[in-house]
Amino acid sequence: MALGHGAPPDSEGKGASPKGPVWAWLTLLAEVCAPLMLTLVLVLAVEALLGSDDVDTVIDRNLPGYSGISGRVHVEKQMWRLEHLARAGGPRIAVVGSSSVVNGVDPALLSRRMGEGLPVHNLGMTGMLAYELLFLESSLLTPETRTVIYLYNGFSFANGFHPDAVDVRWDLAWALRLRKPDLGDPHEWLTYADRWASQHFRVLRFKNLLRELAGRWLSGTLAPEPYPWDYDPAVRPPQELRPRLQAAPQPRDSWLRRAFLDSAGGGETMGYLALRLFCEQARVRGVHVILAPIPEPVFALWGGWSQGIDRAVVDERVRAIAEYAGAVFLPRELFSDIEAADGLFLDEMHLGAEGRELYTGRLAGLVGKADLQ
Amino acid sequence: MIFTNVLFLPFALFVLALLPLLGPRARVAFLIAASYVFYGLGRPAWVLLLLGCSMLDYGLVRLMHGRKTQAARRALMVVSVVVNISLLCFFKYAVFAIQTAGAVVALLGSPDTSLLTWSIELPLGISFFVFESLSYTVDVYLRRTEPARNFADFALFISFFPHLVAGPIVRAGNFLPQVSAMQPLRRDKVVWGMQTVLVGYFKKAVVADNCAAVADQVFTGYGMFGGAAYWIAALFFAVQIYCDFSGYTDIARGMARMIGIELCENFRWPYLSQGVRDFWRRWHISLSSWLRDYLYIPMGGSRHGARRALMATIATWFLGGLWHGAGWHFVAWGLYHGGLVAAGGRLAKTGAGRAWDRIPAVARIFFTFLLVVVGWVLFRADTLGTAARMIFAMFTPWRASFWRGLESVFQFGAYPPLFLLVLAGLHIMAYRRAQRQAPPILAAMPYIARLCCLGLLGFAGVLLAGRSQSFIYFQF
Repeated sequence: MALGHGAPPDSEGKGASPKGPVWAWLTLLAEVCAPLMLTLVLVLAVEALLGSDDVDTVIDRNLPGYSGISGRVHVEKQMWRLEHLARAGGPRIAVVGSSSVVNGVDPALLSRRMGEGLPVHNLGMTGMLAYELLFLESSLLTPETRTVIYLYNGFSFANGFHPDAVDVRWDLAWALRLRKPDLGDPHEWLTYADRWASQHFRVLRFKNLLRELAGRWLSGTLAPEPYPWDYDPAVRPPQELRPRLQAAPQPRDSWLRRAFLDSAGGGETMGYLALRLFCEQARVRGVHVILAPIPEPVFALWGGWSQGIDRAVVDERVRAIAEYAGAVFLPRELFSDIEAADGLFLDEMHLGAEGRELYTGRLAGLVGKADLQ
Repeated sequence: MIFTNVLFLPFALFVLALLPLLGPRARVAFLIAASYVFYGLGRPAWVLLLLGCSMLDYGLVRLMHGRKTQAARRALMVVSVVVNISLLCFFKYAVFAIQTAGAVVALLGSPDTSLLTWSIELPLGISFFVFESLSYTVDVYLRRTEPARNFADFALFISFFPHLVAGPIVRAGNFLPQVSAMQPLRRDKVVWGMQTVLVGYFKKAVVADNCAAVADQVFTGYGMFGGAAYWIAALFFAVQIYCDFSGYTDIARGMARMIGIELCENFRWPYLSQGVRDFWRRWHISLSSWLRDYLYIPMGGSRHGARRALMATIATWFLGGLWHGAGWHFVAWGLYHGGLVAAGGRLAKTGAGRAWDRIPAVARIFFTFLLVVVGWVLFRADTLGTAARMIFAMFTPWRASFWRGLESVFQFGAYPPLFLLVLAGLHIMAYRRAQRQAPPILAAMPYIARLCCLGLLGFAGVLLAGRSQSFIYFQF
């Protein structure tokens, strides 16, 4: 298709004569609506294809690893896995949270150590905030899910939507319930309309992932991800000291810094409200919920993101919600030795391989006990 | 509302479906209402600004047209021009002026930084509809055009939704005569219009939005990259801004044509220009011709000697740069192009000009493109200082930092450069076709083939679209 600017043909309108509204509508139908319908049919055909079990499984088996792909593809990949596992069904324990969970929990080890033979799914998703528990509710609280373990970060209870995830992890009904839209701002409605389309069409929601996979398939490089973590397990934590020197705080208009400040601010936020609603939903469906902090290194409190944040405030709010909603809460003190060991972390957020093993083992024991209660 | 929003489709279909039912007067009223809804979906209060601006200029021009003395006509014209310019200055440049003053005060040691954070929301498309209104007043004053028959025609001229927020900048003399003769949904126009809309959508959603990912990565984190990455980012931005803006224009022109109104051409293969002067005859034609007719020529143009012409050129480009945005880097971009245009004019009849003419056309196109790409760095960078550092790095390949960060630009493989090569090939093919004055490909096809091509084009647009970005020219 030429991307040009050909002069308008027949600008005098020769060869065409207006013959009343019926003729005009026929023209509209034939020349405008028909191509759009064809586009829609093609979109629906691909949508149906993506919905078939075979295609779903092939894509899931060949999801790309973290390195060498864009952030968009990465977020879409995680979402695909989440939906695929939900479709597959079966009894399970689901572990949910941010990329700290992706890299901090070994599901096979957790399953083994718990010794119940129940599969554990690590459903961590990069940057996941607590409000997204509700958006992902149908994929998390599947009929046979026995327990959901939500491992939160210091930033999880933000009072706003995650700017990089809204196109992929979105649920219009819950979004409207969590945050009343500004009726005087039609722009917000237009944005919601776009997100509604993404929410309902996989071909839109996963378009970056699908393009990535198509490119790999065409170039003969389609292959399963080499390991489930974002970072190669062979990567060791940096050897340099992590001096407790105050870094410049990140600007308040950065969404992540704001999320930390919201979470520890003491006020009601979308995140806390959503966690309470999620726990209520889980209770109605008979799913156990376990809430616990994911270990975050002590040295991060000197860094730019979580500087000046009182983690105890966040823990206390979560503990109160757990009590109210009948969920189990595992306090931070149970993991404080891990948080204090700098060498277990790759950076301010993520555990390394050794830290993952240690933390997973600890978690297995605690979850086992909590589940028996 | 923007053209790529999912709600634009039902909106456009509703407008098109209802138009054939209406008589000429009702059609105009309906289009005004639809345009105001389209505009109000950005921010409802802005509709009042648009309406107020239209009423004021219509009233002043009616008064002016009824006056017999030249002095009275001139006074009314001056009032209209001053009001329009003041409106533009208030919304667009007051913040810039105050922040600049704040920066100067801060430099002098004042601890008060409140001026630096002062802001006003810029109404969408104000630069476009103010320029359209201004040209109408001046054209009627100079008796180049007749005043609008009635307020409805004028209100439609200003608010017509296809061109309202990002042009092209239409002239009353072209637009108003079409209002009474408008015949919506003529088959030939719909065929051309639909093709243009879909190609425009593809250019915006697929090409521009995907190129934006590469360009934004470098321009926003420029400290992590070196000169080679800046060249690549500038190249991607060149493609992004062209496809973004010309894609918008295509959608606007196609939509307008289906309604029964012709909008002027805004781009004519600008990246195949053989000189910077030539570039400005092909890039954003409606703006460059506006600047020529209402700034450069009234300032004397080339009629009063070389010195005066140079002054007029520099002043025009200074204001042209400022029109694009309230920032010193936009001014620098305008002056950069003004300098190149002036130099081109001065050198044209000298030995250097003749030497330029003797080099092969392909080389002329290449060098012109490079000059334009360097200019885009001034345009896209956040500040003038950043732009200067980037341009310096681009021209110092011997420095060790030149190759810094290149691997992260290409972390997604060879797709981006391959994508650009395919686009360049398509662009040249389309250009050659246009040179032969061949009819648009789709219009010449049998219906079923056309239907399939359009359907596939729409499908590709949906599937390959990049992350949705607002049209770049909305900020102007």
